[in-house]
Amino acid sequence: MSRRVTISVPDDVAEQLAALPARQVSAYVTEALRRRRISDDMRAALRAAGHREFPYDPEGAMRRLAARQVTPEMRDAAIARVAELLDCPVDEVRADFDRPNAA
Amino acid sequence: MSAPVYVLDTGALMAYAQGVDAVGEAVVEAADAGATVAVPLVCLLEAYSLLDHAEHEFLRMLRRNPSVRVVTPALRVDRADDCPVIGGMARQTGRLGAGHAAFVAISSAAGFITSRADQVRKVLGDDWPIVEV
Repeated sequence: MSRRVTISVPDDVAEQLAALPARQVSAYVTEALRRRRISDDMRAALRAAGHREFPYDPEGAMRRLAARQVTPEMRDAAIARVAELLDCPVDEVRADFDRPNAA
Repeated sequence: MSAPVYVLDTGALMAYAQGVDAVGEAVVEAADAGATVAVPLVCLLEAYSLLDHAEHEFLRMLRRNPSVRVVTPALRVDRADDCPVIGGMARQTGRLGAGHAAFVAISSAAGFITSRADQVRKVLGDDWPIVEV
């Protein structure tokens, strides 16, 4: 089910929407709002557990995450370390780590 | 679903339920970036065993969020079986949950959130991004 709504947005956002193919505007706005809802729900869970308020900052979040990435070299070194600790061939251990996680 | 950017171990889940800000910052960061965090099943069970019943609701709220993914070990013996490696890593880290969490972190190339960095450094290494709470 869907419903038509009329909203007012600032000029810069209107330009962003105008640049999208006409049939993709609703999907774009829907995805943006759903992502925001996930962030809001996370904050609600944190508030319930006694955490402070955290400002909504998607650009800062992406920047901070990029600075803390695990590099392929770190992962390779960890796999070699585990193989040595477990006294197993590296290729065998690597196959275990490369298997997609069940979720 | 995207690969997780952080793994939360038992201590991180306890810290979340007890209002420790460093965990809050990390999970908000993941949600705001449209990314996910992983909760290894063994750590989730350990956290439930250590928290009071009244605090279980906090874990339920966290798990309901689409940016949180509970990860179960692969159990198909002779085909895809995570149990031997997780068990071996638990022996090295000293805790079953730490072993499973370190396994998920290496599998996913994800950062690690823990209250006991000393337990997992032995397998993850000194350079691995770890947030200690």
